[in-house]
Amino acid sequence: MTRILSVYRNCSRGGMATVYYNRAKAAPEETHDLVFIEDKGGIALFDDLPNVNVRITGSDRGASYIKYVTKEFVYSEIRITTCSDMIEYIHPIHNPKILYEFHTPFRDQMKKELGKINLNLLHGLLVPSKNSAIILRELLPSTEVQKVQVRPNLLDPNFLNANLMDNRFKWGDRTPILWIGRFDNQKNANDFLRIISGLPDKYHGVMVLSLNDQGEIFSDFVGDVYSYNLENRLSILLNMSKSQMLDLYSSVKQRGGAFCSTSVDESFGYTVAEAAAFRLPTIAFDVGALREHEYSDIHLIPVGDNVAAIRKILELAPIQEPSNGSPLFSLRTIAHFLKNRVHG
Amino acid sequence: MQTNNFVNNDLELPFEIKAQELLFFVEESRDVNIVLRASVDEAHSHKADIGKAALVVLIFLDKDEHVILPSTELPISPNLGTYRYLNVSEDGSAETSITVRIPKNATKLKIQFRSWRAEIPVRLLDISIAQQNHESATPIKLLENLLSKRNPSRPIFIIYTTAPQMGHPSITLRSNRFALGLAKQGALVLFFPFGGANQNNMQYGDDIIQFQRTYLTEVLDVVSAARMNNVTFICSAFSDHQAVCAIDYARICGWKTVYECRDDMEEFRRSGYAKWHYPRLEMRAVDMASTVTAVSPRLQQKMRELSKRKRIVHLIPNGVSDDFLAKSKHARHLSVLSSRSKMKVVGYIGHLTSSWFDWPLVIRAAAAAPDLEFQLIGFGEPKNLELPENVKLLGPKTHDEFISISKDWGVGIIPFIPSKLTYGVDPNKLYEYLALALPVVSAPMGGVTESPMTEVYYNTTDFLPLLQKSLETHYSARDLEVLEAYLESCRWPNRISAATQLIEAVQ
Repeated sequence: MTRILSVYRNCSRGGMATVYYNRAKAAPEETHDLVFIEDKGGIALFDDLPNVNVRITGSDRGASYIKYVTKEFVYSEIRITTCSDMIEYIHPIHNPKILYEFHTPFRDQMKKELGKINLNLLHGLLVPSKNSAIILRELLPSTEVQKVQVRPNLLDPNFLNANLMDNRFKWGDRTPILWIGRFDNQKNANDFLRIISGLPDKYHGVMVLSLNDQGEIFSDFVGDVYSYNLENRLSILLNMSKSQMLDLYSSVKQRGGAFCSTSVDESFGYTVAEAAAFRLPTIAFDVGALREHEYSDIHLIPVGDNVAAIRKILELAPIQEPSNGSPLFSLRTIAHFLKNRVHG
Repeated sequence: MQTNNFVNNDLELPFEIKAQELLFFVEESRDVNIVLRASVDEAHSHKADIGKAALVVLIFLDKDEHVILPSTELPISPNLGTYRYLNVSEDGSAETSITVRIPKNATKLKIQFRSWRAEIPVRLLDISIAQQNHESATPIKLLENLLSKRNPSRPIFIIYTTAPQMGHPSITLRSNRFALGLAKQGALVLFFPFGGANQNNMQYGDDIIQFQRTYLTEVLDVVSAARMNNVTFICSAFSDHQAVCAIDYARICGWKTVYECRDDMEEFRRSGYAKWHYPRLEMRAVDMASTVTAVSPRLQQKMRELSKRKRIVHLIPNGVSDDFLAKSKHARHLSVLSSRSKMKVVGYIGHLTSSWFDWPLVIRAAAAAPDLEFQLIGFGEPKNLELPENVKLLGPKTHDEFISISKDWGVGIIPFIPSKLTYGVDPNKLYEYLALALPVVSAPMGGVTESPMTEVYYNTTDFLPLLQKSLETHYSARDLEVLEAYLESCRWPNRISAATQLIEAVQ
């Protein structure tokens, strides 16, 4: 029986937890032991997977825990992300294959993580895209380059095959535009606000955040929401479950909405791929690994070109008449709107 | 609880711990609690390291007897796994209690006993093992179970509040009263108290379930997944980021939402409390909720100012419980009311913190009126107070004790330091004083200007004259009628009814 150990810092509802979930779901014959250091509310995500064991050690027990389990259990692979300090505690007795995974698109961050790793202890360096592989290879000594392997993140096929008609969310006469992310430099939430503010009032921004105990940051963001006069045109949702996300994608699609990514870089672009695989019109800044996805529903826009993003949303997700579903505005009206809204 | 479900039961107690094992059947996702008693001989009982003389190692096994990934709730040794040292004593009274969640796929628990200091023999005297439902699973599972049988159109109220848990031994605030009142009307109430609720208090009566605040998103998920369509989310003074996002979530589910302003949280934060509060988040709650209420005119005005669209904010003050009205009914007689004008005792019940209780004012008044006695019920007074002899600190008292003590009072006071915080308060003690037919002298705040038998001082120099005036006032049967009518309008059921009518009026 193949047994895999993955070690990461935060057990939250998004990000790496989803990566681990989909890997384990795609390989039910493997046992996946997931060891996290901090509890950020994501532990219940794995409840429906019988082949997954999740443990959260806390910072004071992490080292002892890794020492013990790597001695007691035979792992075919041990995968570490960001917790490079845990590598030295891996017991060599079963000679496991030790891999370090990079899930950041930022060169500086990769460099920082590399600076903490003893490459001699590693059998491989994993990245989720060819784009990330190029960046990583440039940072490595030539003797280590062959360790780089591309392993794309997996999407959940059952999730994507769902086609729910009865879902729990109601949009009235608004057209929802979905955004998923965090308040950090990568996800670039402010450009999403600018895009929504540039659209007609019938468009409604739906922001799904992965957030814990960041009251001050959230407060600052709400200030920005008011600055853009978006307080009635934005819904901010926190830490959604898989079933809520399923309903959200489904209801946005049924209402003729779209997905919008304003990330300034992506090591893989999970949410973009997921939205597009769900056949949601997906508008994203052309960054990082996004060109590696082969979904026709992904429409890439020059990074930071909010006007282009607005045009594309108007084209792909025109406002629907509530009764007959026909577009509310003609193309001529849209062009006129853009001319006034953008250029004043 | 199941007890002592041993697989092998061939160990005879007591035994000297060397390297024995016990195997026990378990059920995954429950908690197992193990209680052990162990002893050492007198010769060893005073050694410094008897606390490390023996230990137990806990190992969970699956149905194929494979070892399961160890729990993280106990200390872990890189060599042994999860363990706990045994508490020991000469008389064997020392207990070691271990509670750990049974992991997924576990069917057996192996307990290994190990001597860890060979020179200190340890005897195991007793062991008991019991399984119970895991605490965090209980309220969510309970909710799912209830919802599966519930008509989707029956009302559900989710109350997210700064109030304490239901059943708190000494504090019952507005949100607690609302929860009780709504449950009495047939609603299911999902209650999120500020400090969470004790494990054995998760289900409060048939129709109130309490949750830790960390479960809010999960509860919203469960309720919306069950397609409940008559749901109201009430944020009661606790507009943190969770609540603000919950209001947004409730809106897109088609639920009703309420923001209830009970205190000036911005001022609490300025005073060093309520560090979770940010005015912008309260602003968003006010703007996004379908109904906004406030307990006092000052807070009503503040919420209007906070709202970008200057929305209507409804005034629903605090109130008085039917229970207290019944207990104090004996005091609402003309004879009792008349007798108060002969009393020379000034009374107060409540917190005595110098953050808002005007100690300098009360001390000055007491010093200037040695013929009056000031009786103060409560706690939180500053240290090193130099009090005149006619100021008595009675300490905290129960409601029944307060009712008894107050029969000797001539007037009840609310001497708060004027501040943004106190102006916004609608003091519960006002209603309690009046229920006892106790005239009131108060600093300006809340609804005190609208209440009968109440004098309000706007300058501290007016405090003592108003006290004396109040003590000399003779009240009539007409005053008593007005008082009864006022108290009737202030009953908590009427406050709750006013709130629910507002909520239902929203399209």
